[in-house]
Amino acid sequence: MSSRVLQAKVDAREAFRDLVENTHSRVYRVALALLQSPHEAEEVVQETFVRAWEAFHELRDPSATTSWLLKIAGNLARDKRRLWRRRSNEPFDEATIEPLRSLLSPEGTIESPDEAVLRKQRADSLRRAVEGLKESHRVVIVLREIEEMTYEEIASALSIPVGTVESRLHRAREKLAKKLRRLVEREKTP
Amino acid sequence: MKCKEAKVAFSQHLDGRLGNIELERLDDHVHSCASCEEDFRIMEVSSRALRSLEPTPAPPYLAERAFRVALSSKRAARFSGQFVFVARRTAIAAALAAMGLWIGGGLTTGLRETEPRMTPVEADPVEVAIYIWTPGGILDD
Ligand SMILES: [Zn+2]
Repeated sequence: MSSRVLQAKVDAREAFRDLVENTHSRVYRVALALLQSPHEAEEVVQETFVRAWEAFHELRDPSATTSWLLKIAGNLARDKRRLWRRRSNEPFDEATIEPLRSLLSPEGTIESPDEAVLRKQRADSLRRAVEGLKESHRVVIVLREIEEMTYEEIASALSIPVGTVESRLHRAREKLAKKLRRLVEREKTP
Repeated sequence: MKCKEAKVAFSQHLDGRLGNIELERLDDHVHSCASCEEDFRIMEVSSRALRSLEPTPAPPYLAERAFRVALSSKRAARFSGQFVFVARRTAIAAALAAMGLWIGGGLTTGLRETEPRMTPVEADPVEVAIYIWTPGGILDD
């Protein structure tokens, strides 16, 4: 094999390796947000990059490549999810609501023996509240707020226009605020 | 600005997507509407709390595994096989055409030139493409 041929082969593989390294965590987070299963999210990542390698010669523009990957991952995850659906319907107990009360109290932090523990409790309770939202709202909140994706990335992952991301996000935030308000205003059960 | 419009605007504001003029209008509304004020306070606090969570990390082995699986997948191999078949056919055609040109060129230029116009290339682009699209090689060498 001539050295130029070998070099071209190495270059293509290295370019693909860079692509995988730079994008796999975003692909994973999209899949995880949609599937809520780390194992299945990994399968989606795998399949997404098999397809990316198949089509690698067509993927030139790096920014278009990322949205292409997120779209593929989103489609694969949605196909998987059609088989089953999970929505957290567990009732909230006082132990879950109390951290939310302290988080949302206008006075700010109520007595905090351990700030880190309290932050963790609040985060867990908040996550649970988000998980109780309807699917389309849950997904945009997770992708935007926790996974820190741009509107454009979310639009690619969900195959929806950016305008729809915007309106879905505002409705999701409204629903979440309502839900949290209802929870923290609930009478304390002894 | 009405409550409904204010809610859309506030969500945009949380994502830094609201212009200054709209922000002023939103501010005016919030200061005159207790219901929105409380809703927005909750939205802002919960948004900040959610953003303080770390994005979910991908498993540390995932990138390397995804890379290897992609390069050795049977489907990619099948795809590559088709590509190689088409590429070989093209390469043979290209080689024949090149020979024709070379011979033709040699005949037409006759004795006027000491060197043929077409010199064999070191690496045929088609050959390069074949190697790029043949999975397994480098990694498993
Ligand atoms: Zn209002």
